[in-house]
Formats: sequence, C-alpha cells, structure tokens
Amino acid sequence: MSWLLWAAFALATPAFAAPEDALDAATRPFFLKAVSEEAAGRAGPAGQLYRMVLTSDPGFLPASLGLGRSLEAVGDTAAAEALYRSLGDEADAVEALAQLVEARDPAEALALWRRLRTLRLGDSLPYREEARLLAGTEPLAAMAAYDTYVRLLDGATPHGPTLLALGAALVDAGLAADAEQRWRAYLDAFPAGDVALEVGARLDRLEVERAAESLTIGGSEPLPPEVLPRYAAAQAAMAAGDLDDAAEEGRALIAAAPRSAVAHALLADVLVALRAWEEAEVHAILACALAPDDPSNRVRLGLLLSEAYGGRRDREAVLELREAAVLRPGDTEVQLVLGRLEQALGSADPEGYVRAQAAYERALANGASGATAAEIAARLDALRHTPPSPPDVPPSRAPHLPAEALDHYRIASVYGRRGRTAEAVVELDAALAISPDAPVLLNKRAQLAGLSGAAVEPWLIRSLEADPDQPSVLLDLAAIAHKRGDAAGAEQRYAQAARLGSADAHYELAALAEARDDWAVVREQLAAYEAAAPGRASQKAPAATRLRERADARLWALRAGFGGGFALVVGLPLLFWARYRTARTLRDLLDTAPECWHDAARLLAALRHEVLKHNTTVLPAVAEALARGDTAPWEAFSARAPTLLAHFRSYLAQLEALGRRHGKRLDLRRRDPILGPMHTALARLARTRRPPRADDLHALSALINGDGYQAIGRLVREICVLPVTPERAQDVYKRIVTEPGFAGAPVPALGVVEREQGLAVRMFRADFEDILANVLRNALAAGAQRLDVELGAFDDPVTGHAWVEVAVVDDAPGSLTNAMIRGRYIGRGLGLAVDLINRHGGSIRVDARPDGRKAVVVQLPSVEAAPVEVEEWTVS
Amino acid sequence: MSALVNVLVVEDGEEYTENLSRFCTDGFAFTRAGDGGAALGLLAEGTYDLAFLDMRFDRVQPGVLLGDLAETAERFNGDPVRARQFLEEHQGAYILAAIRAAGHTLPAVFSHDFDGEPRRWANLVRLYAPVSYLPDNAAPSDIRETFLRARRHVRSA
Repeated sequence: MSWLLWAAFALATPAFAAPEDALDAATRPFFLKAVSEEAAGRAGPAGQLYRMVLTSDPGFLPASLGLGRSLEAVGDTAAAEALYRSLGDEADAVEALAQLVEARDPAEALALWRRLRTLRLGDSLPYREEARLLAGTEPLAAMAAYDTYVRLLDGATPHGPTLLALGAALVDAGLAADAEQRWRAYLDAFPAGDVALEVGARLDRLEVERAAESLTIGGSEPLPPEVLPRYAAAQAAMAAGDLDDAAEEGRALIAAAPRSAVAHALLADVLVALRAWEEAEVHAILACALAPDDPSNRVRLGLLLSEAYGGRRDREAVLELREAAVLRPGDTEVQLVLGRLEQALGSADPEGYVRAQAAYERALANGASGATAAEIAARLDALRHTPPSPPDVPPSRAPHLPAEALDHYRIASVYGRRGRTAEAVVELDAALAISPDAPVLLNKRAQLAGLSGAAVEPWLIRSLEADPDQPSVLLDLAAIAHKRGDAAGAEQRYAQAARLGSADAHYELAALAEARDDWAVVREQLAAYEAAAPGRASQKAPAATRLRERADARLWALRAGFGGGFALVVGLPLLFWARYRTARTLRDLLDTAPECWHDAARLLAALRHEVLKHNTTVLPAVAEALARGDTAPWEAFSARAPTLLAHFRSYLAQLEALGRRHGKRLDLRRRDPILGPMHTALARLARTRRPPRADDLHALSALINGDGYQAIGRLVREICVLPVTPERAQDVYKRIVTEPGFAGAPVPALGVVEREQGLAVRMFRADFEDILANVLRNALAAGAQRLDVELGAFDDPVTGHAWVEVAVVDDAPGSLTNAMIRGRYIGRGLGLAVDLINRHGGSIRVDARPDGRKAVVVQLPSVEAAPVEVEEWTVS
Repeated sequence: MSALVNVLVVEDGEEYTENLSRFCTDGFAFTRAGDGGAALGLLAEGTYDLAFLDMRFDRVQPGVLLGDLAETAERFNGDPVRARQFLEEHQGAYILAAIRAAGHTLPAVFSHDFDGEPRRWANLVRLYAPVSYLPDNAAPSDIRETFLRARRHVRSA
C-alpha cells in the first residue's frame, strides 16, 4: 500500500521524477547507459541503446528524441527527420524538426516554430526563432515576433545576435527608428549585456548618419577659389608630417566650405593619421554623404571602420567597400582591400570567402602587378586550398597491464582529463592495488598527486626503481631537486637523463652551468642539445636560443674585450643593418603604390627646382673658378650649402612620409639608388669648408646635376603611362553592354576611329576606363542608336602641349550642353567622370557634329615617353 | 653689332639674373624683365640679341599674366582657378607668343626641360623658331655656350 502511495505521489509530482522512472526496471539501465554514451560523444552506441529501449517501450519519448539526436550526430539526417515527423505534435520533436529542416527549408522551419507556439504556450523560444528567421525578408513581422519574445522573457536578457540581426534588417528596410527603439531598450535594461558594446556602436552610427543626412541636400560643392591656398597648405602640412597644423587648416577649410566633400575627406585623412577616430569617422561619413559616388570616399570610410573598431564593424566596412568596388570595378587596390575584409569576415559568413575570392580574381584581371599580385596570388591559393583526407591514426597502444587494472587506468584518465582529480585518484589506486610496480600507473599517480598538491617525488622514485630508463621521470626528479636548492642532485639527474638521449636535459645542464658562470660547459651542453634536438623540436628551443645568444655574446665580449659594450659593437650595427635591409626605395613605392605618383612627382619636381636649378648647377663654374685660383664663388656656394642640404633632406622627409601613408618604410638617404648618392654628395658639400679640388667638385656636380637629375626625370616619366588604344575602348564598351542595366537591350556596335597612333596619358587604368565607361554609359542610357569613339590628339596653339582627345559621338535624342556637364544637371556617372577628368588636369566639353550628332570630347594631357636630344640650335 | 651679347632675361624672380651675372660675365650683358608686359616694353625700347625665358611665373600678380583667362577657363570646364594655374605654369610660352606677335624675331631660349616632350618641343619650334631650351640642370657653361650659338645663328641669318 505504501508503495502504491509513493508511486501515486511520484506520478502526481513529475518535477521530482526522472524520465527514466517511467521505464521498467529491466529497460532503465539501457536508457541510462544510452544517455551516458551520448554525453560522452559516442553517438553510434547511444543510438543502439536508445533503439533497445524503444523496442521495450515504443512510446517512451525521451528515447525517441535521443535516437533522433544520435542519428543526426552520425549524419543520418533523413532517418532523424522521419523519426521526428513520426512523433506528431510532441513539442520537443517539433522543435528538433524545426532546427533540422531550417537549412533546407526555412519556410517549413518557420511554420514549425509557429506550431510550437501553440504546443508550448508561454514559451519565448518560438517567437525568438520566428524573429530571427523573418528578419531578412519580413522585418515588420520579425519586429512583432521579437516584441512578443521580449515580453515572454519577463525581464530576462534577450538573445543578442537576434537583436543585432533584427536591428540591422530594420535599418536596411528604412525602419531605423524602430531599430533604435529596440536597441535603446536593450541598453537601458542591460547596460552590461553581451552585445551592449556593439549595440552602443550601432546607435552611434545611426546618430552620425542622421547628422550626415541633414548635410547631403544639394550634394558636394567645389572649393571656392579663395580657399584653395588653404587646401594646398593643409596638404603640404600633412605631407610634411605636421598633422596638427594640417588638422587646423582642414577645420578652417570646412568652416569656409562646409559642403565640400574634398575638404571633409582631407580632414578625415589627417584625423586618421592622428588616430582621432571619432572625429575622423564623422568627416569620412560626411565626405561619403556629400559625394556618394566617389569611390575613394567609400574606401576611406570602410578602412576607417575596420581599423578603428578592431574588426567589430567590419560588416559595415565591407558594405562601403562593396559600393566602392561597384563604382570602380577596374580598381585593383579597391578589389584587394575588399577581398581582405571579405576574407576576414569569412569565419562568420562562409559566403565571405566566396566573395573574397571573386574580389581577388577581379583584382588580378585588372592587371595587378608586383607585390600586390603576389599577395593576391597567395590569398587566392589559400582560399582554393582543399584539406587533405583525414589520416588514419594508428590506435593507441595500451600499456601492458592486467585487464582490470587497465580499465581502472582508463577511467582514471578520463576523470583526470575532466578535472575530477579525486575520482581519478580512487580509480588509479585501484589499478595500483592490482599492479603496484607498473611505471605507467606510478607516473600517472605522481601527476595526480601534483594536481592535488600532494608529494610527487615518492611516486616518481618508485617508478624509476621499477624502470630506470625513463628520461622524463629523471627530468621531473631533477626539477624537484633544483627547486629545493639541491643543484648537485639536480645535475646528477639531468646527467642521467642526458645519457638516455634527452635533449632537454642537455639544455638544463647548460642552464645550470650558466648559473655558475661556466661558459665552456654552457657551449658544450648547448652543442649536445642542438645535436639531440635537430630542427629545434623541443619545448626548450626558445630558451635554448636565448641561452645560445648569451653564450655567443659572452664569447664575443671576451674575444673583443668589450665586455658590456657588446651591444654597441654588434647589436646596434645589426639593428641598423636590419633596418637598412628592410627599407624600400622610391621606385619600390611607385611600383607598389602608383596612386601616390602625383604627390611624388610634385615633390621631385620641387626638389629639382629648389635644390638643383639656381643652386647646384653652378658647381662646374665654381670648379673652373677654383682651378683658376678664384675661391670667391666657392665661398658663396659653401655658405648656401647647409641650407641646400636642409632643403634636400626636407624633401626626402616628405617623400618618406608619403611612403608611410602608403604602408612603405623608405630609407632614401641610405637605400635609394638615386636620391641616396645625391644626398651623400650634398652632405659632403655642406661639410666641406676649405675649397676642394676642382676635379672633386666636377665629380660631385656630375653626380648631382647629371646622373641624379636624369634619373629623377626618368623615374617620374616612366610611371603610370597608359596607352590609349582602340582595343581599350572596345574592352570598356564590352564591359558596359553586359551590365544588368543593358542586358537584353539592343545596343549598337561601337565604332572606333584612331586618328593618331601612339597616344598615351598618365593616369591609372581604372580612372581612364571609368571616365570612358561613364560617357559611353550616358550615351546608351540616353538612347543612342549609333555610337562611335574617336581617338586623336590636339596641340595647344600657344604652349605647344599635346592633349589626347577622346570623343564619344552619339545620336541620342535630347540635349547635353557644357553648362549641364559643369553644373552636374546630369546623372551621377557623368559627374564622376567630370571629377576624374578635373583631377587629372583634363577637360570635357560637348561639340555639335555636322551630321547632327553630338560629341562629348574629353581632353587629357598627353604623355610623351621618348626622350629628345637637343644637339643643334633649333630652327623651324 | 656690339661685342657684348645683350640678353633679355624674363623671369618672375631674380635667380637667373644673379647667377648669370656672377658666372657668365665674359662678353654678356643681362637685363631683367619681371613679366611679359615689361619684356615687351624693353624690346620696344632697346635691342637685344636673345631672350632667355623662364617658364613658370607663379610669383607675379594674376593681373600681369599674359593670356586670356576667360578663354582658358572655358577650356578647363569653366574653372578660373585651374585656368590661372595653367597660365602661370606656361607663362613663358605666352610671353614668347606675345613677343613674336609684336614682330620681334630675336632668338629665344626657354629655361625648361623638354627632354621628355618631343612633340611639344616640335610644336614650339614650329610656332616660335628660332628657339632653343636649357634644362634645369644646365650649368653656366652650358648656358654660355647656348647663348653664343644663338648669336652665331643671328649673324648667319
């Protein structure tokens, strides 16, 4: 009777009843064993046991669910799905099924979560999952589900990733206010929540974007002429590394031209260099908002977000860079930067790796070269690399123990790995009771003793007595002796271990010898260590390397007699040598970062003008005067020489600052094959007080005014020369007509007329192709039925300058005038083309053609690569 | 013809005049004009064997620059700033154009490096011959030699 009462109580109070209580006594152990196997990660045996339970009690739901989980774990998802479906409206089965089918059929998963709402009234989970699933497609419904989820949580912390995903979806859907409301509610209630930092950052971003929106009306305005000197001053200050001055000029510039994207971009760059991230971000956003079609603004903002937030805002950063890549598909650098970020995000979004690969491939197709191409190739190789098949791991060899002792040993090992030392000790002692002299048991017991703070040494000694050939045990015993101050005992044990082939023992013997200042033994033992541990395959390798350095230093110091001056004699020169070897030249910079060509060319032209022209060009005349015994010209030059050297060094510093901004450390004085010798010659002139020999002066002049001058000219002329050819025009056109905007539409064939051959401009390929693409795209969009490109040249009637002319001639209806182009009453694309043309010193105009068509004519400064020799007085 | 070579130096600074006066004293006389208008005035009043022209004039008042600012701005997308910069950077050519337009045929020497611009140099020869140039790294002896060749050309013409 009492048993019946107990049973009735147990059934009536399920909170105190375990699930297996519903099973009969014979089946229950199988269920418990199945649970235990599943917990240990052995899904196969667990599944078998669950099946046995179900054979006995087919209606026992926990076993069905366990079998489903086991089937999933071994990869048999079809069987798991069928099993869950067979369980009908069992809430746990519906939940498991929803999770299982989500990847394949999100719609069914959503329906299942909704079904679960009615099966588990008051449960928040179905609403959370509904919000998560709907965030990307139905943000309003997702928002309603999320609100219900939060209500049902009744004050508990909401799931952070769901909140962030929902907020992002609301912002994308133009419901930023709703996102903000939910983010603020989260921050108010859970200021230290898991995603509080991220939510705070996103709220900041919303506020900044809102501020930016208020300034975007009307778009960017050009800098007024009166502030251009200030703009130039800010650029010069930045180039010279005077960042505070540059920031001050930049702020004044914005005060004078608050709607200039160029001004905001400049100040953002300065503030990034100053690492004033917050203010830099504001100006980068404003530049982007004022000139959204300028890809450089997108790139700037993307890089800033990535760098300033340590990766936390890489998702936003990558969106900016994707925009930039769309605006400038032919820009290698943009594609590379985009690829890097997509790759960095790949761990969170596997599609990121695919997008990264595509970006790298576009960059390579654009003609990446040099170090850029090498980096892209390495990244692509890594992304395409497939893992090898899992190797067959040989089964571990069990120690030679009686079976019962072996069982205890294994159980003790599992307990030990889980940190349950006391249980492990019990099991191991049971094993030792069976095999008291087994070294493997004694060593494990010593290990457990150490974990529990008990004495280790007795166990190790017993182990060594059982098997004296154990280097690791000898090392442990030596370490114990060393720790208690028994250096002799430690050395004895280490020596025994060394004789048994232990490399680490040799290192420890060397370390002991160092302590007693016995450097001969140190070197001897280190040599033995290096012989016993080839390839530094030892945990002691770093320490051994440091000890080797100390020993070598000691040897050097002894040999050279410099003692503590070792660092001055060897270390510092080594440091300088290393810095010298890793520094780059100006050509390295221009090859790997051609976008800095304009700045570098400007600085080099100024250097030639300020230092050479009017100054060093007089050196031959000074030398001739010295040869005649007239020292006055030399004295006049010598007085100016230190100033000239200072000017020269100032230009080198500006060029090196330019390199740093593009991630390259230049050492122009020592490494550059052009500027280095010129600097050496100028320095020699500056420190020479007495009149030199005329021949020496002639030699220095030849180096500066001859070789150096010519080399600078060649360097500037050879970079960034882009041939303008019919093939390039056709390639651009082919790319345009495959764009989604023209896909399937009838487009005319492009006629290209090359009026002159050998045309070239100095600009990046991407910029030139952007200009041409935008003009062509504009003509197609306006409805051109006939379209031609004419490539020719125009000679300035006063200055003689040659200009490359690219005329896009079309018969599109409607009018396009110079005023429309310059006033930007045109599509964004043509506005971008005008900006690029202005940036490269060119012009654009609209001409009427006699046949009634119109031509958009782009003029760009021509590049003439071939040098000219002037040998005779030139007459026409 | 005088034994001295009379050179009209047209530059916005005074560096050429100073250096030439210091290092080309043997047989030369130098007169400086600070802008195109001053050069035309001196040529109208005196006789010179050749004109030595700097190219870039960025230290003069915009008002004295030769060349049509409005027309140049029209070429540069209506931008007067770029137009002024263009006139400054190539003012030497505008001055020589004005000298030729005023009927002066004396030889002219540009102080400018045309080594990398063969087409432009051919255009300038076609427009303004007799003309030559000296690059930025020309030593005083090169300058002297060029001036003497210019005078020989005048004598042989």
